[in-house]
This record gives sequence, C-alpha cells and structure tokens, in this order.
Amino acid sequence: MARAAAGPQGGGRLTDSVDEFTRELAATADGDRIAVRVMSDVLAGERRPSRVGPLLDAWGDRFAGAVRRGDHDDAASWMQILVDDVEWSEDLAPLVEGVLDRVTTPDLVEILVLDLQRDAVGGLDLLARWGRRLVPCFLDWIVVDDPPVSRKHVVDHLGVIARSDVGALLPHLQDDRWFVVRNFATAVGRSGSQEAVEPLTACLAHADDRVRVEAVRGIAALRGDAALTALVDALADDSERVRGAAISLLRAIRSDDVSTAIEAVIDERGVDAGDVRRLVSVIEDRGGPDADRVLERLAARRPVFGARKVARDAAREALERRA
Amino acid sequence: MSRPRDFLRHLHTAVQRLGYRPAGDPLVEDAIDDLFAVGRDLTAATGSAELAVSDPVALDGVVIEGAAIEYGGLLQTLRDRGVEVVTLVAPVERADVAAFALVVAGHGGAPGDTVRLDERGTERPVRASSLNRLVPEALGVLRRIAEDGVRLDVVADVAEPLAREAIADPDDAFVRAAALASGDDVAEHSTAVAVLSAVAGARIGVGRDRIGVLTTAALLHDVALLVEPDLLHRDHPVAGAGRILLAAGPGHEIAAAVALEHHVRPDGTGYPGIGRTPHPFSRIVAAADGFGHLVAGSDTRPPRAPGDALRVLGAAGEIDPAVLVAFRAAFGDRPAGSLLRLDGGEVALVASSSGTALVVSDAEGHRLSVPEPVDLRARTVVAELLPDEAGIDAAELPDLLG
Repeated sequence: MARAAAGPQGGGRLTDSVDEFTRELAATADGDRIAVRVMSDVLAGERRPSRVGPLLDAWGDRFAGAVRRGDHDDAASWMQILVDDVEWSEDLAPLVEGVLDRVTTPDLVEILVLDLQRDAVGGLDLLARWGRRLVPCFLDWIVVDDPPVSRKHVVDHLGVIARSDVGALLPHLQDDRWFVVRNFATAVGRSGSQEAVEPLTACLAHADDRVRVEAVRGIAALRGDAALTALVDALADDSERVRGAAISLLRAIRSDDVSTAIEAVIDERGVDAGDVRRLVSVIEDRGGPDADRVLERLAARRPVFGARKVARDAAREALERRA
Repeated sequence: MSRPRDFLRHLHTAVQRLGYRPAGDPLVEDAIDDLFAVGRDLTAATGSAELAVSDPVALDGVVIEGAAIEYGGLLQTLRDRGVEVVTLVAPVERADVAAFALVVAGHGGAPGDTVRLDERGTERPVRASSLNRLVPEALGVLRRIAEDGVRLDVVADVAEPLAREAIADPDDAFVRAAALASGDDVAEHSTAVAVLSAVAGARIGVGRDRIGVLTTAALLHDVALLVEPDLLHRDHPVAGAGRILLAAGPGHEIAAAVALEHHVRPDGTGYPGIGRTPHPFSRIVAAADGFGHLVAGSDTRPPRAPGDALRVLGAAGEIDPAVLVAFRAAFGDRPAGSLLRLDGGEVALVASSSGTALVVSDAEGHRLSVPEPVDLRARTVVAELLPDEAGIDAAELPDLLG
C-alpha cells in the first residue's frame, strides 16, 4: 500500500524516492537559473517568427539586466542560449542577429570591460561568448585617444575573442592604420589557431616594423618549433627591432635544429655583427653536445672577417667559459 | 529540523526499538529521553501542545509540512490504535512519555496525566471549504486570459487561497478536481490540476511559502491551449512557456518551467525532450495532469473512474514515483468521490479517503432522497463506476458529499 510504503515502516525504495524528492525540492531554490534553461528550451522549440521576436526582446532585457548588475555568469548563460545552444533556421537568424546588435552597446560593453579590470567572475566567459560582436567596439577604443580601459586591456580582450573566433579579427590585419594592425596582430597571435599563420606571415611584409615585430611574435606563438624558418628569415629584416625579437624568440624554440640553423645564417647570410654575438649566446645558452659541436665549428673557422670573425671570437669565448 | 518534526522522529525511533527490544533497554531509554526532551520543549512556552494525527498532521493547528509522508507508517499505527490527538501537558513526565511509547508500540497500558490521548483542546486544522467560491473564481481568471493576456499576479491571487482550501480538505478537493477533470474544458482541467497539485505538493514537502507558486504554475500549465485552442497539442508546452516568460510577475520562471515540462518524463524524454529531469514542481503537475487526462478520457481512450485513474497513473513510467506516493497518500486507495457498486447491487459514494461512504442509490438504481451511511469494511465492492454508469452527474458529486 502506498501509504505504508511512504512511512518509516514501509518499503525502502519508495521511501527513499520521497526523501530524495524532498531534498531536491529544498535544493531547488526559486532563485536558480530556471529562466535561462526554460528560455533556451523555448527558443529551441518555438519556430514561429511572430513568437520568437518577442521572446528575443525578452532575452535582450534579461541579458542587459544581468550585465548591468554585474552578474556576468548569468549574462554568459543568457548569451550561450543564442550563440551556442540553439541552431537558428534561416528565417530566424536575422532576428537573432538583430537582438545581438541591439544589446551590443558601448555602455554595456564598457560595464563588462571595467568589471574585467577588477577580475569579475564570469567576465571572460561572457567576453568569449559575446565574441565577434564586440570587435567593432574594441576597434573604436584602439583608435580613440581616451578609451575607457587601456589599449593593453583592449588587446587582451581581443585575444580572448580570437581564441574562439580568430576569423572575426583577421580582416583587421588589412587595416590602413599601422597601430590597428599591430594590436590585432598581437591578439591574433594569441588565438592558438593555425588559420592565423598565413595572415600573420603576410604582415611580415608590412611597412611598419612594429607590425612586423608583432607578426614574428604571433607566428612564433602559433607555430612553436615550426616557426624556426620564419624566425631565421626575420634575422634578415632591416629593422633591429624585428631581428631582436626573432633572436629572443629563437631562445624559446626547443628544436635541436636551432644551433645549426643559426650557424647557417652566420655562414651564408649577411648578419649584422651586433646580432652575431647574441646569436652565438643563444647557442651557448642551449648547451648540450649539438650546441657544443656548432660552437667548436664556429671557433675553428679561418680565415675570417667581419661578422664571421665576431662569431668565431664569441664562440671561442663561449667554449672557454664552458671549459 | 523543527521540534514538532523531532517529536515524530523520536517517537518513531522509540516505537521501532520497542519492536525488537524490551522496555528498559538502553537504546529504548535513549530514544525515550529524546522524546521526553522534545515534549518538554514543546510545552515550555504555552503549557501544552496538541498533536493532531490528522491529514495533514498538525501541532497546535499548524501543519507539519511533509510529515504525513515522512512518518506515514507511524501515523497509521497511531490511528490503528485509535489515537487521533495527542496532548502534552506541562510539566511533561518522563514516565508518561515512556508509557505513551509503549502504547503506540502495541505493548498496551495507558500514559499518565501529562500525555493525554484523544483530548481535543483546540480545533482541528481548518476544514471549512471555500472551494465552492474559489473554483469559479479560478475558472473566471483562466477564461479571461485569452483576452487579458497572462497576468501572474492575478493568477497568483486566486491560486493561493485555492491551494490553502484544497490542502485543508483533500477529500473535498479531490472530489471537485475529479468532477472538473471529467470534461474537456481546458480551464476546468487546469483548475483540477491546480487543486490536485496543491494537495500532493503539500504532502511531499512543498513549503507553505512555495505552494502558491506551485498552484499558480499548475493553473497556467496549459495556458497556450487557453489562448490558442487550435494549437497542435504537441506544441502547447513550448508555446505556453513562451507566453509565461513574456509575462512579468512573481514566480513566472517556475510557471514557465512547469508549462514547458509537464509532458516531460522524469528521465527527460517526452515532449519537448529536454534531456534533463524536470523541475520538481513540473513533476507534481505532470502527475495531476496525467490524472486529469485519465479521468477525462480521449478519442482513443475511455474515461476512467477516479480510483482506477489513481491506480493506473504512472504505469508507463511517465510519473515520478515519489510524486505517485504523495498522490496515493493524499487521496487514498479509494478516494473520496469514488462510486462503488456493492455486492447487494447498491451504489455507494465514498465520502472520505479514510473509508466512510454513503449509499446513494439502491439495487434497482433508484436514487435515495437521503443517502445512507455504509461501512465499506463490512461489504464487498464489486466494481468502481463512472458517474454516467451510476446515473450521477459528476458535477453533482461535491454537493452530494457536502
């Protein structure tokens, strides 16, 4: 009998299920994120544009409200509905784009980035989900004299977006303004996406060396050891900044080929004498039998002049330090 | 844990231990010490405390939420021993508490002056039903939604007293709900579901502060069908939840969840398939809704008598077992309003889930001008009848019992 089963002398399983239900009731506070789940399911199931439109307006109110009160976790959950949870049909997609455009206002974005400066919980998740729609706003802040947050922060935020959607940033590598390209190249370099390698490689031909420096750094970050060739090529750049960046980045490459690649550059290319000492120190710092063999070969070169002489002397000094 | 609930808990422990240990055993004495301490606390402020072993269980007229389910076996034992009210009088004596536990455990005897059985000092929990007035009010609110739109505050205003009255008299609530559910009117069905959800919700532990939200949600669970009668049945959960999400008001998120999920099974399948366990309120409303549909029948399925509907409810695994327990505990195996063919051919109307009944028509099918009480324990029930089969209009049942 159900009545007995529910009581302490009744069967265990049903009593357990009642206890479990009671505990669940207590745990399901009214304040949890029921509305987000329901809105997600409703938008996934409702296909009538006449009904979806008002629901998206309600979504916009909820999202904006969450951002304004600094509940970025909640805002990220609301954003997730539109950008991740629901697959939009062709007739509904414009409605979704419309509401996303409406909520992407400078004042809301400013609230988020100011909170991010204070390490607000959930802010980065929201930033990533809001994604490409924030790019125009951040572009404006790169251009204006007095952005609400530092440009470093703006680039950091672009980097977060790049990690999930590098394609949103790539067109800006073609911008006419060198400083725009530099900042976007920095952000794109943090994307982790191989899709970004080719556009960054194209930036190595940019007229401004500050752009080329960021391109070299970005390629090194994206390609790891496979960036060796690009870094070696960058040693031939006219700009000391670019060459300096390339030499620093060579230190970070773990491949055994680094020492021999540097040896080849010194032998075969017209490397600046000032760079040679730093390149030899890269080999010295790597240590190990391969590096020692390269140092010994460089130290044994004769007759030598100019950069090769500098390399020989530096290699000898390195070997002496080792001895 | 509240002290009234502690009293039941320690009494349960003591009675259980007395079932397999002698009086004087240290474990038994420990349990009686605990029971005595709670009894002393309960009477400290007012000088006495009265536990009504009623439905729902109440201490000094205040319902102990969920106790009827949690301690259903103990309460049934008390009733079996003829105990309906336990009155504690300060200063409570430990020896009286121990004697009381022995009585409940079936060892016989009688407690002393400080623990009195069946001495009613205060009124039992509220029983006077205002459902006669509240049900039409609820129907009116629901029927106006098509023109006025969804107003959560308006629905909540009628839901809260409706729930209160239904919980106060589950038998009356059940009879009215079964009658309302027997037709195909959406507003009537929704009101029936609300009444049943309130009673079952209170049984399973929904607190007094949330029962109004549950009942509001239950009233609105089919809101899309109220507004768009031509909507495909499969689409009404999503459409209804959408309408509620657009309506401001207290508890609208939960009402939207219930509208969305009341056809979702506990495992997340059903429609719409949400892939997660529905909100507890949705599971309660799903049971009430399922009952309503069983009673009403459909084009492909004949209507079922209320008791029969309660028995088959959840047979396909579509209802949370815990909620089924609450339903059956709230309304009994032979719920009030059931029409029964007795072995002599008469038709009896069950007046309360505790088993009282009235013969309403004789073996020849003639209605009695004054129904006559009958002891069902002394008779054999041949069949449970639908109102039509008994020659009674379902809408007439509440008045017959009134």
